[in-house]
Amino acid sequence: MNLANKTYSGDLSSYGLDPLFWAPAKVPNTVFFIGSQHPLRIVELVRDHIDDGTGVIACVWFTSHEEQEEPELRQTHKLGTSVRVHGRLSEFRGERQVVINTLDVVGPNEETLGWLERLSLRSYLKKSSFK
Amino acid sequence: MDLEPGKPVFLEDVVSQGRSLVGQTVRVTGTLHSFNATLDRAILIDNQHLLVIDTSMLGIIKYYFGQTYQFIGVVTPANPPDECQLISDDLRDDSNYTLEVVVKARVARDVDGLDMGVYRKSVVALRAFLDKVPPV
Repeated sequence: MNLANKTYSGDLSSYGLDPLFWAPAKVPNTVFFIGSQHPLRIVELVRDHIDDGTGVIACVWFTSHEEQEEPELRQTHKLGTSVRVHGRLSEFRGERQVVINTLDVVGPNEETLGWLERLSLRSYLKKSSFK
Repeated sequence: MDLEPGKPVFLEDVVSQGRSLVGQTVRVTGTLHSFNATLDRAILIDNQHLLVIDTSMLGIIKYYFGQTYQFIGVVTPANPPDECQLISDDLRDDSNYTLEVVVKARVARDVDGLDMGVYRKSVVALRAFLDKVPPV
């Protein structure tokens, strides 16, 4: 699937040749805000929304068994913290979300850098022969 | 949850466009000039433009005057008598401001160290790009 959540319609022989295919889903320089906790059977997940100025997406963090046993191991962040999220794009109840693999706190200039990176990526996608 | 993203805008955009932005979620950045705990209002200044921020939804936050802050919130109509008393005569003479709208903030963050020159250029470039690209 591509970022627009549609099945791949290109030439199958070039599947995987696009360098972006191997890049992890990256949501850089986003502002972490609002949070809620929903215990789900024995899995506890934290679902938050992040905003980068162009859109809002939900991010889900499944706490590990160790974090459930010892709450002090859990990462907690204040509303407004700027974070970089690496994860997998998925869908839940019709809403797109990112299942977090790693989450790093970043400085304010990282967000600006992220915008510029995305603009650069967009112009690459425009010129790329992989559609 | 239907949340709107905070569109990055400059203080001069809110000051000049005022009422036409009411209801929109914006992200404003500026230097904190003063804070009134009684009225829960903060004053942000950037490039001789001044904006009043309604901080009633933010809870207790330590504010440091002179540091750069970013607020994400909704532009709402102001109550001029309240807003009027926040702005001293010196500020009125030296800066452009609006008493028609305030930004009712839901998120505040200290962005001290942000390169405002690069930030401004990036916002302008981002806006130019988003104007060309249709929304998903």
